[in-house]
Amino acid sequence: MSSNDEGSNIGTHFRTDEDGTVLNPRIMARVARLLRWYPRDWRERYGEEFEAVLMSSLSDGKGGLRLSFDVAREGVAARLESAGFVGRTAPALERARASVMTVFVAILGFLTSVAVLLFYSKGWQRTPVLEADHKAVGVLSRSKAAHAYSQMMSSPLHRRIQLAATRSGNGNSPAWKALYRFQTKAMTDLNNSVAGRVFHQVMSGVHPASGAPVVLSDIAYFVTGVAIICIAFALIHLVSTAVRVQWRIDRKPLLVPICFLCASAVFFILAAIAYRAFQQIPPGEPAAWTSFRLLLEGNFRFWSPVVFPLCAAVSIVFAIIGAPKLLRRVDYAPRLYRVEGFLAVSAAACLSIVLLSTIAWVATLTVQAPDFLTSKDGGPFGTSFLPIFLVAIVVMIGTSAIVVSRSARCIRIIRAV
Amino acid sequence: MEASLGELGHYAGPATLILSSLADGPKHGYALMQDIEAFSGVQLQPGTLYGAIQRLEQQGLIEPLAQVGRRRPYRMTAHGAVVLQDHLKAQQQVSEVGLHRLSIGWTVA
Repeated sequence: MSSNDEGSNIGTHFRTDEDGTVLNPRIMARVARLLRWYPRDWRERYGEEFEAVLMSSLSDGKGGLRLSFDVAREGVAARLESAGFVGRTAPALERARASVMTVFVAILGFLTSVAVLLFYSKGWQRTPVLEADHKAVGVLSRSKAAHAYSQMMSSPLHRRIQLAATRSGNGNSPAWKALYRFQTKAMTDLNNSVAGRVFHQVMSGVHPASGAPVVLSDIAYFVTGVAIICIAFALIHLVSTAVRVQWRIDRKPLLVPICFLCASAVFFILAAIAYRAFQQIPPGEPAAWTSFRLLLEGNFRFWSPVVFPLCAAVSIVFAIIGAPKLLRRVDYAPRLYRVEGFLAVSAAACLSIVLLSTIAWVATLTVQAPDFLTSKDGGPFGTSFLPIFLVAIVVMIGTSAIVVSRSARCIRIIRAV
Repeated sequence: MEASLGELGHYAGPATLILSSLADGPKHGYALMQDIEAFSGVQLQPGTLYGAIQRLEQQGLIEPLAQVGRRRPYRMTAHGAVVLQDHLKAQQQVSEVGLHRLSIGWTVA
């Protein structure tokens, strides 16, 4: 802003513009802050006149919280539009690039939710059976038949036969045969009672849980291996391309995003190693928070419950920072965007299948082992599993919807180019 | 180019007010805000005003004039006048139907 534009000085701190509007330094600072909400190209076109409107509004005392909120909202909308995330004003390739970036971040969000589900549902394979067994045993032990069985087993007659059998020292002795007949009769009576029949029916009706975690734990190592190979090839290709173009394209440096992606790959491999170790810890061992305390005390036996989520989170954050930076700096051919669009559609189909099977799995758990979801034993800091499951599934639904809509947008834009 | 204010989504309201204000001559941003407040009672915020101005300019309904100091006046184009007229006529029709039906079935105090 030149001194000619700003008008004459009033004292040392206050100036006026050409309308005679008093320019208070605090107002000027606030206007400068408000303008930062808008992207550079918008500021170059409308910045000066918008600044004048803001100055006049603030000088007239109309600059409340409502004005700040309005400018922030419109500034964010202008930024999203300028970057091609919404609207049709940005160039087609810019919009396609924004769609690909959104799909990438949404897939990472989806995978984070799956990782959270895997982390918190450790030991779930046995849960429905254990829970049904626990309940059936509880019901049976409170039944009259079980009471009669325990009375028979603690009766003086049983004790006498047991003593005689032990003294005989011969497995074929009449005392042993009598003991065997006595115990078989007690067990048969128990099994033939109503409570005993119900117990057997419950136990034979329990099916192991199924769904996404089954599929995911079955293919986890294969997928991890394929992912590591793909990441390695992509990084080698990226680095060799970057070396060829001397680490910059149109003065935009490539070193920083490539470093972020390399770091993300390293943490991904560490997370995969930690996940394998984490899977080998039997259920019921210390949870993440306890393991963290043990690590602080120098006990590294249960390191994986802390290292797995930590490395996975760092890997995802680095990928979210690095990949969009790289995408923004490199101009890809429309053909590549078309391929990426179709890859995104395929990814959307896969995510939908995983999502549906996860919902089916949670439904199965809700029926077969409702106490597992609401258990206060397994959640972090003694909380229930249920909110974690619900949040993870809601995030999975949201990110799947984003992947579907944005990949369709990418293909639509590229077809029109 | 066929354009309607309905295509502007949530900017359609501010766009109608801006075009109505520019119908009696070019104005810069702050003058638009004051005029709109005077004739409609609506206090347009600067962010919303410039969001709508940007879209109206992109649609060719208004055009910028030479900058005067730091302020830039805008004027309505001939195409903008046609679009505004169509829009206001449609709104007038809605108003007339609504008022007529109110006069038949309701006693408004």
